Amino acid sequence: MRTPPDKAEVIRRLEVIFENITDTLLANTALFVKQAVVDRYVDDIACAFGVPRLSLNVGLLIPNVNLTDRFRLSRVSWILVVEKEATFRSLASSNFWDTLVSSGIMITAKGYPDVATRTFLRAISTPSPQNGFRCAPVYALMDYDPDGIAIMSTYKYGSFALAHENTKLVVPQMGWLGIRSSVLPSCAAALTESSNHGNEDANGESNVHQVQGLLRLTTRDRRKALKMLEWDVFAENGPEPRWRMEFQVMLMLNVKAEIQIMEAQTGGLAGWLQAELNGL
Amino acid sequence: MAAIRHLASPPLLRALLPVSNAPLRPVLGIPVLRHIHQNSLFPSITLPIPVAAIAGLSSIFNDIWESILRAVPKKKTSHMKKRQRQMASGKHLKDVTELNKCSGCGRVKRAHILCPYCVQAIKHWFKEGSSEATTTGAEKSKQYLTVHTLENAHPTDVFSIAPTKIQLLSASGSSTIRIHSTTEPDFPQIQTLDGVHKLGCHHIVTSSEGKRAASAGFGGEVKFWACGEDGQWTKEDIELDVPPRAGELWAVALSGDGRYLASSSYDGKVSMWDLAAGDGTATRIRHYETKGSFGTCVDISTDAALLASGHQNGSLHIFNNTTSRLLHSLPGLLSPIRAIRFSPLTTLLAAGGDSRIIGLYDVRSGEQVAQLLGHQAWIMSLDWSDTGEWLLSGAWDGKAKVWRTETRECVATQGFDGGTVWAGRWLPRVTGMPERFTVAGQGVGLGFEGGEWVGTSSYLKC
Repeated sequence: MRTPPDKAEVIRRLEVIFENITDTLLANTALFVKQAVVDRYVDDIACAFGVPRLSLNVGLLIPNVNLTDRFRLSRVSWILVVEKEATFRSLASSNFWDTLVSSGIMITAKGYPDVATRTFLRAISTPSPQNGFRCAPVYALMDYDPDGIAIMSTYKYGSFALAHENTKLVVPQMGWLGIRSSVLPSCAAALTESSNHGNEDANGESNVHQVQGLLRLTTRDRRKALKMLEWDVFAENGPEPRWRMEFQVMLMLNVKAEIQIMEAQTGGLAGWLQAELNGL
Repeated sequence: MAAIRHLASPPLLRALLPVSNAPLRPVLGIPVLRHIHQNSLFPSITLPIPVAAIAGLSSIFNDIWESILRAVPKKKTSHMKKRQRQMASGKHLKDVTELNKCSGCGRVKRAHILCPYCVQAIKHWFKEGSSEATTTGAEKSKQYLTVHTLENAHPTDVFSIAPTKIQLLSASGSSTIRIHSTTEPDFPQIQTLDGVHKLGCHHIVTSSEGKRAASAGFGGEVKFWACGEDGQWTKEDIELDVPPRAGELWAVALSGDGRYLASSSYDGKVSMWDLAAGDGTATRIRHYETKGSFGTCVDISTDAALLASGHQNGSLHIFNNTTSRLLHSLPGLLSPIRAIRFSPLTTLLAAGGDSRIIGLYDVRSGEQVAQLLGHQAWIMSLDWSDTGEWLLSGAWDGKAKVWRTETRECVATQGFDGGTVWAGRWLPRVTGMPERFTVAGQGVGLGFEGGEWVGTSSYLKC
């Protein structure tokens, strides 16, 4: 006769289940059309199990930064700003993290950043007595879509809504790590490979594109991209010619890509990131 | 004896058989008769014997006649019955279920049987190899040499170029259109049109007579340019009578005489505009709706009779402007189409895109007549030479290929530093000059700023 599992084992199993559910939900935003739907499911699941959202490992807020706080950043050689939590968690659970955790900080605000995150990021990245005048380079890891670039722009140049506070929140030294149009060829190649070997469908293309994270621009995306191209940041002689160019290429190709697309590469997202960071 | 009995009725025999009226000698020539004649018991009585033999023969003939006259077809199995028997259960053609994927090319093939495609390819390769040994290299491949490269012609990617007989117009992510002379060896810049497309310009096209150009910007605006006698381009004040909303309009193409403009839009609509009115408006004279997939590329035949559009979802359409109807909806390549081009005589249509295959279609029948395989990356541009003899294709990985239309073979491959070839165009043929083409795109460079270039290549006969 089987003995009933002890409490610890039950909890451990539930943890695994939660992790899988949340991973599945967060990694397949395309499947659920938009983030709001995913959020609702996550809430539903949390409610069904009678636990707070936090314990599903979805959502862990950055605390407010006080003037008296001190940061010890002597061993930090880079700060990585990740667009979304799915990527954050995938990186944090990868082998890469074990090797590089000692040399850098990874941070995410789950989409458009809130003031707390931006304050925190500025506090640790801008030389000041608070952080012992350390100035680690800040890199952004964003989706290759208008929102990804808009989020990066919010970190780097501030938002319209908080224009009056922008000077205290911006991180102008932020660099763009990825992903950019230059990774698309290898991704496209990987896509074709996978589409040749199974994974085919009657409407093959859309299927392949969606599963692999290479998506078409929607009308909204195109409109948003065009609007953003008119911003001063993206002007012809503005501060970000590279951003402007990437936007134009995006419009030319009518393709956007999510960070997850790098998972399909050899070495996965973590491997790619490691190579990129080492190269910098 | 039957022979004797029949002897009484020679007239009947005569009536039936005209042969009996003929001299006997030939009759005796018949082997049967000769046999009878020789074995006769009365060799001396020559006359009656043949007559008797003929009489016996007539009875045989009579029988034959009888059977011929009374002949009816044999009982024939009806079609239905035959089919019923043939198609009886268990006698159908069986489904072939022993299928697997060819490890060589990935296509479906019958298990335990060689992949026909690969076998074909190997056969072809053998043939190629042997014929190459016998024919001269000049027949099989051509060599193009880079004549000149304009480094940093534009500060960003050059997205589109358009040649006239003496000039080359180039458009890029910057707001400026640049014009280079193609008659001089160093391709000097002769004019710039500054600040014309604030958000950058993604398409520029010229009419084949070279008097008019049209450029489309990322903001969705189209501008028209006229070339004066002095070779200087000035803006034409032409507005579209149905102004497209921001970002709505995408690819453009001009007819041979520059009178008609074709345009595609993000929602798959394809339009044709008439610029001839001269009152500063371009009248929309044709408007075709498709299934709503982004119209990535468009082309118009030289005589403006046909319009072709390629879409993000892989569909291809040819419209007949005379009847204002869809002429063909072509079997697409499933993945996004990025370039489409009518051959100069509008007999063929070439289309290429993410499938890395260039499809050649017969414009009249709408059938795919060939697939040009060889590119390893997304095909971004296509162009036919003046004569339609050659097809130039440019791909995302910085490779440009020249194909011989007649044999559907790739005759030359040029690599351009790994950057995207956004556009590749043949320069109009100049007498006394070798044929030349121009490619433009992005020099990849791993730094944050890639070096951009316009390269012009020209071929040299081996």
